Amino acid sequence: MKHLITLTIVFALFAAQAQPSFKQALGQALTQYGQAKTIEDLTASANQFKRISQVETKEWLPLYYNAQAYIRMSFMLNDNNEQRDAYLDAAQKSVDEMLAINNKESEIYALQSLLYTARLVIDPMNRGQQMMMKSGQAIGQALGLNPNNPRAQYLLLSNEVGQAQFFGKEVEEFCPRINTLYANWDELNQVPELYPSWGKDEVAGLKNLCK
Amino acid sequence: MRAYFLFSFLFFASFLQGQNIRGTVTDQKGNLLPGCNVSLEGTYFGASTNVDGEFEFNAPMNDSATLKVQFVGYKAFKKRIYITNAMPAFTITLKEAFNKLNVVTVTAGMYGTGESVDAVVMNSLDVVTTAGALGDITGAMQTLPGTSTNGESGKLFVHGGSANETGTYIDGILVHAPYSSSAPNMAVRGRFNPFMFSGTAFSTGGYSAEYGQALSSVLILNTNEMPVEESVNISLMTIGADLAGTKMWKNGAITATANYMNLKPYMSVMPQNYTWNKQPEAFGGAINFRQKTAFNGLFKVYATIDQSNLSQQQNLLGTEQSTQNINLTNNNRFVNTNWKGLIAEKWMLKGGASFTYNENYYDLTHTTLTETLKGSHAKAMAIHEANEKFHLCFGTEYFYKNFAESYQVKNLAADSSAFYTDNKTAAFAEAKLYTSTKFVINAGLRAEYSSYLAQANVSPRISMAYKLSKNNQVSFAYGWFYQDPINTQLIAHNQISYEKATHYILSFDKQMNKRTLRAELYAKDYSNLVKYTNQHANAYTNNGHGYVYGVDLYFRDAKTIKNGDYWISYSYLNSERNYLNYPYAAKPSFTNAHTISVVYKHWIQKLRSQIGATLSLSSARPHNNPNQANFMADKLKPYSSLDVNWSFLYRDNIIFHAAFSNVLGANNIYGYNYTPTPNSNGTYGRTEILPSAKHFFFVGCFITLSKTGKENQLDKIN
Repeated sequence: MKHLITLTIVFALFAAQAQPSFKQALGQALTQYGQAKTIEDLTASANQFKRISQVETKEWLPLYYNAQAYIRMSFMLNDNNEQRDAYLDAAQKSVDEMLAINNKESEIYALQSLLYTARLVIDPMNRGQQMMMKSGQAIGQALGLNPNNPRAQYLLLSNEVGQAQFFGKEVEEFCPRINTLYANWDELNQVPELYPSWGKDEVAGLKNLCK
Repeated sequence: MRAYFLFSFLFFASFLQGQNIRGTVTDQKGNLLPGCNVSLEGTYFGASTNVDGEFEFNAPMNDSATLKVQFVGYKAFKKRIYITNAMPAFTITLKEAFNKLNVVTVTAGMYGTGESVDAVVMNSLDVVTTAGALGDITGAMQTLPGTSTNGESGKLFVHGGSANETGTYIDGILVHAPYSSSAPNMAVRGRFNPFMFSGTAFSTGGYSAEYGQALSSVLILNTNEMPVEESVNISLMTIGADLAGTKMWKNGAITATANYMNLKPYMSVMPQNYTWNKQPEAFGGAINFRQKTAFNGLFKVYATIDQSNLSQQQNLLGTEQSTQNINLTNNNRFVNTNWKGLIAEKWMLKGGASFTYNENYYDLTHTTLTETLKGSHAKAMAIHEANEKFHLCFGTEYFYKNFAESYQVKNLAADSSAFYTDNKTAAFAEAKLYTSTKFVINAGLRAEYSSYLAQANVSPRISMAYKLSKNNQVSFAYGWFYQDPINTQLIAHNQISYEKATHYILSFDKQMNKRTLRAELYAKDYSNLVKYTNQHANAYTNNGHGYVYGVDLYFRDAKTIKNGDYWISYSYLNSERNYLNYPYAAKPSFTNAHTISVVYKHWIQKLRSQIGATLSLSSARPHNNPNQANFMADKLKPYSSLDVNWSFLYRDNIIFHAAFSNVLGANNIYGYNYTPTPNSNGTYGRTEILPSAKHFFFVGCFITLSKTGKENQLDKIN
């Protein structure tokens, strides 16, 4: 009997370890992603999310983090523009796959907007006008689907502030909106487990521009 | 029993830990590949390869599984494995995938702008920000190697060919009258607004069998696809105004443009080299319609209507009256429709048709002359990508051309008029074969039959490219090219035949991050050129011939200077022809040995400005001086011009643009007009052909009104 219990426990453990559930797998991957610092770490994380997405073909979240990891990588490189665009090509592929799974998710459009901004940063002289337009349009779609999406609100503010700085204008006029968003962040950012929740630090960064 | 239990416990324990799967991933050359995604298919288990191309992970299973390795730019590797403990390390070799990023492309002769073109050396914005180009596509192309500057013409002269040897195509359909009309020896401009096009490809030779009726070069323009947002564009310039609006709906969009140009205010203020009775005035409109259709298709209509007029006083030498007035009115209508879509898997169908009506009416002191051109072109082609290594394309075309001239002496009832009509049918096919990612060969054949000439021609074309290394490649192109003689020769009689050119191009390309180097060697052999001794004797033959050879160098660098971007083009060419009324082989007046263009653009963030400068230098062109014994033995002065421009981004939707040409004030002479007969001393008198003014100065303000997100930018204007 004793043996049987032990055996059952062993089997149960085995079953648990053999193939973690989707949530467990994504949770583990996110923990590792949270610690990623270098391009190599981020590549490993992007690959991990990709592996999960290839099993869970109806879930957009692993693709979201895969795309986000590539966008982060493109921001990390300074010089190699071909490589930066290659990262963004990979990110765009995941965004397209996500939209095929779910075209009503505000977060996906917000990430698409960030991707366009990343394209802009690579060559502002030549891409500025078009990518600014596309980025703005994607934010419009994100806010259309969920006006309270704090990340879409942040990206809109970030684009506006960036544009004001480019045209040598004061950013002061945006400060009330930045402060409101920061103050309301936690309330707006009540998202289900494992959902995108980034952005508060970025808003804090904008806040630092206001004195 | 106890032992058995312990054994089974250990067995499962080892299972919990999992079996260790490890290995190394390399490419076909043995280079280690870091960052590959290694997994067991259908599971979450896997790892990424490290900097040494190594991977290692544990999988708690004891069965067969599929080991999968994925990496961007490579074909996915899959292998059925049986997972046991103490498996040896895997050694995996990934094969390069076929994709646009790593596959070799033929670049011989090709210069392109926009995204769809194989060899991108300029982008669409370059056309409008290149100093000296003044927003003219032709002007911007003249800063690329292989072109010769002919200031009195303004058209594209490529690899020692005359201007009419360059064919202009919009969305694959021939444009019969690509340039505006102007008084004799006054530079013309391209008719089309560069903002209408998303891509521009310019070929200096060796182009595809798809393109006919061009001996030297093709300029391929692709109109914009779907716009991003609705907008209204207003342009206010010292020479006129433009208004454009874009309206979008679910799967379509329409852009309508209206423009008005009048040089009177400008020419009244700035000193001019010629006397104008009426300064050039033009008005016109354009419509660009786009609609997505079934079969993942896109239907486009591009239509323009233009009218222009001018009256200039020109010197007449050696006649009783010293000057004569040239009044010119031009009417142009152009419609271009096309559709492309995927009719079946791997089969793309493209089709289109155009119609052109162009009328030039010259009203001279004693005579009038009307030239009317009606042209049409229809084309259907299929592109079949049988597999990644073999592509086939074939199509058929129909050209219609009716050209009429009517000449009338004023106060006389009778007029003399003549015309010709040609119906031309053509078919072409081209196959592209990749033997590897490193080598590609294109072989094409084109056939044409003209009803007016009652003759056919067949032109084989071949091009190939070999990739020496990741960033270096060589291309070669060879082909026969046929073109009808020019309208004024054809109208005289039809007992002549196609003119022919044979191209040989060898080019080397080096692409580095934001730097491009291109070196091209070429030779061109002309035969069957139209020749005559006396233009009115109808003694036209096809006995003319000629040759051209030369070198083109192009270097573009957007890396070395921060916020700066420059390119340098150098062309050397040597050419001789014996055609038209040439007494013997001589260098044609539109060719010169050395041409250099240096274009520089610099972005100054503090001023939100882009400043640009273009230096153009050309060695002396030959010209025929009747006072000399030898034909085409005299030379013009070398040409030089330094042009500058400045674009200022006042708001994100308001741009100010200023341009100033020939800053250094070089006295360029484009040629001479000689008296028809010598004077009493036996010499021919002459006057210089000058640019219309020494300098050109331009200021414009461009405003875009659009809705971005929720914000309406209308309120930004005040």
